[in-house]
Amino acid sequence: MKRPVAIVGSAQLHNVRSSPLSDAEMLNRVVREAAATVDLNPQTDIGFVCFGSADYLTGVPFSFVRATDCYPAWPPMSESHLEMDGAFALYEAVMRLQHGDIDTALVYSFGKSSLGDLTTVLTLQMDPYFVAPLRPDSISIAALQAALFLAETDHTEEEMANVASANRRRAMSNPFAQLRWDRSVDELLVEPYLVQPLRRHDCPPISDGAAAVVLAVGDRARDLCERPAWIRGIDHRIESQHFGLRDLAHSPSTAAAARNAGADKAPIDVAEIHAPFSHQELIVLDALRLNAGTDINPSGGALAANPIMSAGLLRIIEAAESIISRDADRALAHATSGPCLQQNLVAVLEGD
Amino acid sequence: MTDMVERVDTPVHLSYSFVAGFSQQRWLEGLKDGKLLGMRCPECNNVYFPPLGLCALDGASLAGEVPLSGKATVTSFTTVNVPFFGQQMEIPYVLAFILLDGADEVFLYPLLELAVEDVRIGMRVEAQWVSESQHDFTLANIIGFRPIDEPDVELDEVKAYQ
Repeated sequence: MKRPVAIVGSAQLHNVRSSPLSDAEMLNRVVREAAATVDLNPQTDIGFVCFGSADYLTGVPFSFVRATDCYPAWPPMSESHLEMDGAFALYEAVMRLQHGDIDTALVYSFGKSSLGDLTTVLTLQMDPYFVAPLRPDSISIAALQAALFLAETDHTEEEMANVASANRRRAMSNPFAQLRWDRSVDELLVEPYLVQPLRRHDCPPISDGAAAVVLAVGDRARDLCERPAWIRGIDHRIESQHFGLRDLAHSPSTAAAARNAGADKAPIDVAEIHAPFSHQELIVLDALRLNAGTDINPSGGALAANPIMSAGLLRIIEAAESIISRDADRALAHATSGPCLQQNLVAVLEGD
Repeated sequence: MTDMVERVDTPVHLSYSFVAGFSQQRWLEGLKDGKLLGMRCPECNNVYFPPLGLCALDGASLAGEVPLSGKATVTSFTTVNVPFFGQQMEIPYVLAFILLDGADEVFLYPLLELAVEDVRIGMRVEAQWVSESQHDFTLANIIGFRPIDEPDVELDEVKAYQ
């Protein structure tokens, strides 16, 4: 990148099944807190604001316009909104910072997944003429992918249960996580199927949450943060919307994004994977081919808290905080969007 | 040649719950009780009606309810002559920016009981409520604003709110 960009501060809400706060109230808390971690005034010190959310989740047309009340818009601000996960808003902000005229940006996103019937709402992201009218719920679609995955690869239901078990156990030390427990793989495998081959533990919780990130360029980042998390590479790739044209057991878009982000140039200490379903973590890890010894999802990942539209940005925050806190020197964050890992983003972060 | 397919119906029905958040919750409770509650920004002192929880200018959390009388000034208006789907009022009618006494932000509402040619910027109006038995958690408790017998407010005094 021509201008080096770093994450210098962040904030997230405690993920809950149902938040009593309004959209703007949720976002206001994380915006203020993220700006405060680096002592910036949102009104005067931020060059660009980028925001990710989806109106279908709240069921309110233009809910994102109402939610912009979370941010002081006087003097007039420079703002952009994506109907996507905040991770993709962060991508836009990183590109915007390359223009050279501003040194700081703030990215935020919220997911109030609790307001509608989430598994039905998510069907509306599919082809509106031939697929969505069948109302295939999000869990069944993921189960179709999992069945293909188990048939086409050497992976097993035990490995899926292990992913579920490990993430919920790691979540026990994440104060923001929603679903945390310590249960063995053997215990999990005697559970009945929810939608074969998925058991309940293979699926994510329904979560309300919000997150915000402050980005800064070059020396400005060093002024604001003792150890900025430099974004050394970031890329995203999307696959066809037609399930039949995709290789659902693998994730070529993740592999391409990782390659373009330079993930394989050096060992990765920490990787945060945005995999709402257990088998999807295995698919993403197959595509990433990380070195042995990489710590996977110390936060518990999306299986421990899945605020739709924020869960990807949370992966970037967790990876960045591992650098800022000196727990890691090189971290990878992955974010996904669309059914069955249709679109994937990979960012590689490093400390100085 | 066969007929062109001009229409495909794929109906969608979704139900959602609504979460008001802290300040809208109080505002809606007030409406149910027949009260208009504004909320003040602790940083810039602006009073918002309806209060959406945060000051849109400086991002501060609104705090402190401000009861408002329902008397107001028209700061701008337009006459609606165009029929549209879902129209509630009989055309022509007037939509006005309403500045409630004690509030610092206008909101859009219909005017009642006047001829469209009689509307003026600066004219004084007050809220016309539905009967108390019909009060609910909604601004629709107010049917519209009707003129009251008070002298017009000078243009300069409402300029900032146009």
